[in-house]
Amino acid sequence: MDKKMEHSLLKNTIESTKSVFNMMAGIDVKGEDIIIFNKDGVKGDVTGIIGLSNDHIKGSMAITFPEELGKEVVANMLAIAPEDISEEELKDGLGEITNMVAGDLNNRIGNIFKLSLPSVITGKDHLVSLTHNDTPIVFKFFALDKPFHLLATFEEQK
Amino acid sequence: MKLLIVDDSATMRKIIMRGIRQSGFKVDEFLEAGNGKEALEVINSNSVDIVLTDINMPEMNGLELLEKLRTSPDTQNLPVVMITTEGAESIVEKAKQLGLNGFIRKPFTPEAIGSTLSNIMG
Repeated sequence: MDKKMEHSLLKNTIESTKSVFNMMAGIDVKGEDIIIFNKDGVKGDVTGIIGLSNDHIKGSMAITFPEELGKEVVANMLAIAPEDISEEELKDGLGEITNMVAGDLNNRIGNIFKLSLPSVITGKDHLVSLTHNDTPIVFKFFALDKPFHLLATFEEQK
Repeated sequence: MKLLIVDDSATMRKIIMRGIRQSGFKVDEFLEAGNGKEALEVINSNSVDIVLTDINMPEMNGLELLEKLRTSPDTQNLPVVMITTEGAESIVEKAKQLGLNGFIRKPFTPEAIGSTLSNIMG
């Protein structure tokens, strides 16, 4: 992948994340300058995963949250208290967040990808890593002063 | 005003309802469906005034729903708005050709929903 495309994906992933959290949950996301190249993955409690692919590029994106923050984000989206968020609403809401970040990114770069349906994994401190040949880019963001991670890989298809 | 929200995510349906309420657009009754097939059943048994639908859904997607509505004399003029992350030009163009009334991209603001609905319903 050429550097211009890589830069565009990085920049727009940050913008899309900030935009989705702000518009849908009224939350300002910070920490966009923290970008790690991490093969070992990161840990989280609730993770939304989605594929973004076309004939030339195979991509994946995962957004993983600690449960407490995940509930706060979904609670803000629904305008209810975090303690009232059900397991189903938590999974559904964070799946939608992942879907919207990927969809918004795709819109910003000209709808070059076809998106898969998002899926959500739950489990205390599970390891999230994306199994492509390229090392995933890991963004460490902060929402409501709590960290969460977005992992992405975009790999050229041979 | 009866408004039908069609989305396979129950949480997203609630978020859309919240957005509409925040926008100030007046709805007397919200109806819900999890896909196009369910939406047709709801429309057949209720006097729905406007449909707000996602595109990518299992069983029957939003484009197929729109196509079904436009081919039935009872629903050919029923206003339909798509609210979706899908932005591919070919899909949006196909929806317009089928007679789509409005398009809202997710993520959305309450203002975007409110102004789209007001423009269509007056």
